[in-house]
Amino acid sequence: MDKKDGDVLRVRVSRKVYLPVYFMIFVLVSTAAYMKYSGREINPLAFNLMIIFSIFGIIATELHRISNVYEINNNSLVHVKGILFKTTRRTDLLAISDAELKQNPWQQLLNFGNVDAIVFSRDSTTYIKNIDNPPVFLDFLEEKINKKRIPTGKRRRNE
Amino acid sequence: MHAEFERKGNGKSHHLKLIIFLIFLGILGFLVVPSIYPVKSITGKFISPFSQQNGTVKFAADLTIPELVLKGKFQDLEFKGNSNSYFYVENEKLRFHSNANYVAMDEYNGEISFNDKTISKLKGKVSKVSLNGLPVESKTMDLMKVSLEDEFNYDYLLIRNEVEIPKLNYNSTGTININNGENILRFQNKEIEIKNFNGNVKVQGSKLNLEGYASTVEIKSGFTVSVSGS
Repeated sequence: MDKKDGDVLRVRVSRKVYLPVYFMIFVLVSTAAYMKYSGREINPLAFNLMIIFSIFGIIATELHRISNVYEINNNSLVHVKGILFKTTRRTDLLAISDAELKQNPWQQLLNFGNVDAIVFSRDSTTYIKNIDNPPVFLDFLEEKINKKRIPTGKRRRNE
Repeated sequence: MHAEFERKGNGKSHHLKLIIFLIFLGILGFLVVPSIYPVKSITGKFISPFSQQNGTVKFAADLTIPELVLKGKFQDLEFKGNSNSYFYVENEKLRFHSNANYVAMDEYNGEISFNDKTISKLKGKVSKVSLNGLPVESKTMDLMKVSLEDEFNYDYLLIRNEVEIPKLNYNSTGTININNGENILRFQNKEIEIKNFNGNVKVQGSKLNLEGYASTVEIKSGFTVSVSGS
């Protein structure tokens, strides 16, 4: 999770989402290493497939991770999707009516989850998926929404 | 519309995860199962130990002994001779008798280098090994590492199922028998070339006996006699 000058929060998908993939790679590599150590024959094709799977797994997860960027700035919630062909979706902070935080038990354990930024019409919800520290993201979003809704002058009077 | 798109994406995501997991299981199975149930241990009793492939000739040769380095998996490896050094089996250091020794190994996987007098290098892993009739057993179920400390003066060497020699080229004297006596070639001090040999190797009484199949057998002198598989 990146914070820049306290005004902008930029997040990507958490690597914790890919733990099952990393675990599968670990199991394959450990199995091959054990077989090599114990002198058992390793099928060359299976070994090559294992290497391909491992490399592809790491590259694919990283590409998937960098293909989704979520940003909260002073004006809008931005979702940039894609690497070569990018789609940028800006949702004005004033258009966001609610924000929901969703975490299953596994996500709670590892402190990552999904935040749904709901526009007044639920049809245009922005789904911020599998980010680290979603409560922090949610708090920052609410803070930005409140700042934009209540201009600085009025805020001082209220304070 | 955007919300609908996101929900449909979740369904695709589940299928993708399932496919990735199945691929993982497939690769894991492919890695593990052949090592537990190697094909040869199941079928080895029913098929010939080495089989003729397309484009090879069956031959048996008695030749002089070159310097050979063989690497691979061999079902049997035996040798007799003497040495003043040691034979290592896992962590055990076994001393050879000074005059007569007999080593027999099953399922040897490694390297052996020898010439007409000595086995200069032996390093690999075996499932079973015995020295002078006494088996040396592993404390675990794993394969045992074996090696020679020094050169071993041998007078008998047998390597069976399956020795593969991609190319053997040297000056030799001897006899080559093609296809069970169909052609018998006798030669003296001629350059021979045998390609893609697959079979058994035996050294006894200063003769190298090769028995198996090869794709090409050539004897070169002023002219070349060449026999190859069709």
